[in-house]
Amino acid sequence: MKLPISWLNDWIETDAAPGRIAEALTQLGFYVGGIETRGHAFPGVVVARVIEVAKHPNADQLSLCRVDGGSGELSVVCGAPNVRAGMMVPLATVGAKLPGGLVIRRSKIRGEESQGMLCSASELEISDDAEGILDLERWAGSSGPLTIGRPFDELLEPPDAVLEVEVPFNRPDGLGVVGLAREVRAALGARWTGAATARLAARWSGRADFDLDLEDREGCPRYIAQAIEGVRIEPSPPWLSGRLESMGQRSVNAIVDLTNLILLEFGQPLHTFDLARLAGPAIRVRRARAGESLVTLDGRSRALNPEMLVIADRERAVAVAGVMGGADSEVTRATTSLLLECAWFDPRTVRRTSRALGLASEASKRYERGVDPEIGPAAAARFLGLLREVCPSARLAAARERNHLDGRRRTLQLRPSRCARLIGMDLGGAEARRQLESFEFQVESGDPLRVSVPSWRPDVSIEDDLVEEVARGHGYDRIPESALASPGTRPVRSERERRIARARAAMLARGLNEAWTPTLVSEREAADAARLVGIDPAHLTRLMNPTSRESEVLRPSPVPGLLRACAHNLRQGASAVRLFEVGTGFRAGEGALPDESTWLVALVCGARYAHAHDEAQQPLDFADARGSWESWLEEMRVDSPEWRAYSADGWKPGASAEVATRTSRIGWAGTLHPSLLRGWDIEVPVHLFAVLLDALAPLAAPTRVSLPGRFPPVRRDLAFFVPAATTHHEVKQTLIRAAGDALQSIEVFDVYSGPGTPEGMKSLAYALQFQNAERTLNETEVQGIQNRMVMAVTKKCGGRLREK
Amino acid sequence: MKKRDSHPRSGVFPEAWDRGPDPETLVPGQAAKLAELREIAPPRAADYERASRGLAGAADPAELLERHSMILGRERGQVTLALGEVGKLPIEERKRTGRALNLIKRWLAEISEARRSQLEAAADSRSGPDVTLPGRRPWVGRPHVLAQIQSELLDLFHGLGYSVYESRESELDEYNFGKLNFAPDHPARDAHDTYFLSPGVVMRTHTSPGWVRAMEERRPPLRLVFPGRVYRAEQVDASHMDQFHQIDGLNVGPDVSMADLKGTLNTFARSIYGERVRTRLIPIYFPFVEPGCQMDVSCVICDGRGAVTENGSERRCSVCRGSGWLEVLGAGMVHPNVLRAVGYDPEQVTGFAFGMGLERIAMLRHGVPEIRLFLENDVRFLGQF
Repeated sequence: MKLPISWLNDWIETDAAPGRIAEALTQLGFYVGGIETRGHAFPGVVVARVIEVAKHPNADQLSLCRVDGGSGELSVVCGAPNVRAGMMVPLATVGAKLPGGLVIRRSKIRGEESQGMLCSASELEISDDAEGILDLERWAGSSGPLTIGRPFDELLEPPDAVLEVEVPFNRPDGLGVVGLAREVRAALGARWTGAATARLAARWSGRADFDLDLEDREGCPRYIAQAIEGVRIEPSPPWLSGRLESMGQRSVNAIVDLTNLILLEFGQPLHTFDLARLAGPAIRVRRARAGESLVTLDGRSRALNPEMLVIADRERAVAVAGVMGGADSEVTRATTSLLLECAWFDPRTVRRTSRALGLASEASKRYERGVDPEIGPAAAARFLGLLREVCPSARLAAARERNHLDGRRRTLQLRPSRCARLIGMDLGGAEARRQLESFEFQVESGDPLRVSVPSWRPDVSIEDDLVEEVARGHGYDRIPESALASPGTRPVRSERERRIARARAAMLARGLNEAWTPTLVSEREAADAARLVGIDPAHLTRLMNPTSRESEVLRPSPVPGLLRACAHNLRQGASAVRLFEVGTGFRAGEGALPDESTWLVALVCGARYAHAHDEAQQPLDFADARGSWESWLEEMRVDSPEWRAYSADGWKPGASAEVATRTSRIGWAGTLHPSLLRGWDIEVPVHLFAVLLDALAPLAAPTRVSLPGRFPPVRRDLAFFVPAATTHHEVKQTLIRAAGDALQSIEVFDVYSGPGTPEGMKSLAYALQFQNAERTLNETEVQGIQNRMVMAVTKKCGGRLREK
Repeated sequence: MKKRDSHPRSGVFPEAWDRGPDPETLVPGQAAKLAELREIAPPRAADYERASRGLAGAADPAELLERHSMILGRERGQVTLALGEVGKLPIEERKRTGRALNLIKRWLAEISEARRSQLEAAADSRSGPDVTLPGRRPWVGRPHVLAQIQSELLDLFHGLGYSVYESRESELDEYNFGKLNFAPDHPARDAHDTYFLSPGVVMRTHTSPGWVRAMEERRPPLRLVFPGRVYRAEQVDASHMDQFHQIDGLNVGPDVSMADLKGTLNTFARSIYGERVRTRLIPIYFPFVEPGCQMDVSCVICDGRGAVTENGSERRCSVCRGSGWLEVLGAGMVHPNVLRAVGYDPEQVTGFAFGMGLERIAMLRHGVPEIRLFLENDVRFLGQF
């Protein structure tokens, strides 16, 4: 909402600078985002008369004028074709400064002296018209007599500051100049102007012979209809069009402009019908009939339904109540009689209608927030008063008012103690009363205070709303700042928080950057990610109202965003992409809400080292990736995770696994299938690790320590030939079970299946370490354990010891 | 070079050795040694000096070995030969010469050894790695900039007694709006362009539904913060994302007031925006608080002046658009309807709440010009924080 200071001054007496007014409004919660200046000063530009026009001796396009600017005749060279003797013009004298910054100097133009410049409207920046010199006698913007030598400034409104005010949703009164004036008045202690007092006290009263019926009293409890005859549709006078322009609105004609002026001033929308186009003439305010339709002022045909409130005549709907008028009852140049509507519509009805039609207007914006139900008669009176000014031929004819509002103001109680408790300082009843009265609440003293709420304040409906008024009036800046005490609470870091913090730190330590990727992804992206972890794409959750195809489905895991980021970085020339994210994944749930789970997904591809200039620099492979994920699991204290072969769409066959603990499956890992990657525009192998963080066992239980052995360990290496299909996992478990407690560690150190290996076999070599907690192991004992281990592999895995 | 008598004399070693350096830097005490020799066997001093310079000046290990042999060789070394001759000397001269030659032998051996180490060290340093070459460097991971800011805020509020409450991202309309005092069909809903999953189910438009869930689960007093991702159905551009991040805070207890809120917010502002920051509270409307307020901080770019000096001339500050203030958070006293909706009695407890955006803080702090960068995850962006 714009607030021109000139308009404000029409209502309240203040000489505060625009900056001070802006600050006062901001402090009250009407944030002023900017101040612009409209119009210009024209130092050195005067009203002048052209005495004589002669051709310039040296230039065909120029003329040589003798001009009277009030202080002697001047000679001026002019290039405009429309200049003629006797014309009244704006003359920029020597030293004048034009709005564009041009300073006028005495000069010679093609050998002839010019002692000033005759100006066009565009040179003065009062319109875009650059066609010729501004003819002051024809110029509609002029006001006051065209006395030769008179400063041009005096023909125009002085420059005006316009504040850009952000009006809170709950303050419909702020959508009118009068409402903002009330706030400024309270803040600055200013008085209403005499004219303002008279306008606020004025009440419309009319004859009672117009055919008006409110069929839906809930949707429309109040309606003033006033017929006006003898109307001539003419352009607005400059003061009216200028005022609308300062609010950023275009002038249409005097009648339409006047309704807009009242809307902007009082926040009360008005509508005018062409009376001759109303059947009856009559007005019925009713619900639309099924199948009814209306072409609105914007030229579009609107299908109506019985949820919607319409203004109708005897036959058909002529306006969507509170939203927009109909095209065929619109005021046109041919209109000679009007029906003025000044009504109060139920905010919810207007809002529903406006939303259902997808149609909003300055009127609907105000009605749906709540127009002052008592302002109608004053607004109608103001309209008619100004109508006499802009259209003297107009005569009032039939009229009627229907009013079913009870007209009682809301009364609330305010305990000064409640005020003190919420604000944190005791202002006392008297100060509370003073602040409330400054905003025109009526207050009866006592404890509690009895407070009557002004009709224009639908936002104030409970005691705490009054507390805000008191705090606002007193000034939020004057509320003290208290020390921070916290009785009865203590901060706790949950197990889950600590687990997530550890998960992130452990990934960072493995040289992966943390990513935060979008939740909303495309259908294809989400489906790819779902299949990888065995989620049926049918169980994805979709937005009903997406804003783009790229973001219409909730991700099942952070995989889609990470693949997007991977592709982006590779396109940008990254030699490696190493990213992880901790984020939410979604899938359809049992009830209305989707299931949400917290994932950690890690993605790596590209060079093994950030830098290496020797043969160590290779693209990292699955073993590199898996190694870092294993160590991550260890850091997360995952108890003996098992890696099992797993296959699903999107993984490279034979290069993917699921990871499980004894109790549950916690994640998936592997290399992605090249065909999936091609869909993401990725040409290099990408390794992925996806873990359900909620499935990890809690970190909460403190570790019970087990003492490191102190007796000398014994090391042995054992190598076996085992059938090619036998996994390392099987052999290792067999060895561990056969060895018993003395086996401290077992590591595979060689896997081989080249020449020298028997047909259908492979070689697995293990480094073993034995230790006893109580004593030194002797050779015989170790040999015994070793024999059991070899035996077990022979029996259970079909393998045999590989002799040296 | 032939021995003319039993005393090796000056001239036994090549004259060129005299150009060798003073061995003082290899083995200190050269002057004292010379003095001692001049005392006990003056003719030996000159030979010693030349030999010591010859050893110190050996250019490489081969030359050193050659000179060492010539001087100290077990069979042909001049000192060894001279020592062999000592027995033939008269008794009193035998003693002095023997002592002098033994000293010379020891001292020259020391110098020879020192020169050898020196030459070896020099050779090692020539054959070792080029230390100016970069090493084999593992990758370094950085936490996301928003995660860093979130952690900083959670730590700050933890210190002020707040625990974290994580709440769902998909939410019932009732929790996102209804229980937060958004009346049905109220225009305040228009400020929240809402993504719907189904009628009555939305992507949360703010982190505030967490208040409702927390208060329904727990009894007052409580102090909680609610970090998380929120969603608005907006067209994405440089300054708008349809997915972004907030942290809400909630403090409910028997006598929590706006003065407490102000103390908390000022602590926050000073911690995040610096000790010198100025703040102001101005009224604003949110359905779920009453009274409601917005906190502005003095512009961190122009220090609240509204203008910056650039190349000597004043220009309007583009970050605060000349106002000198930046809006950083919304806050207020929890609306009694919200307390009632969760079964609290607004006469028994009061509370304040506040909410802020992580992206806003990151953009101001790091000069990030586009909100889209946060979810794009360009490693050249991520690696900077």
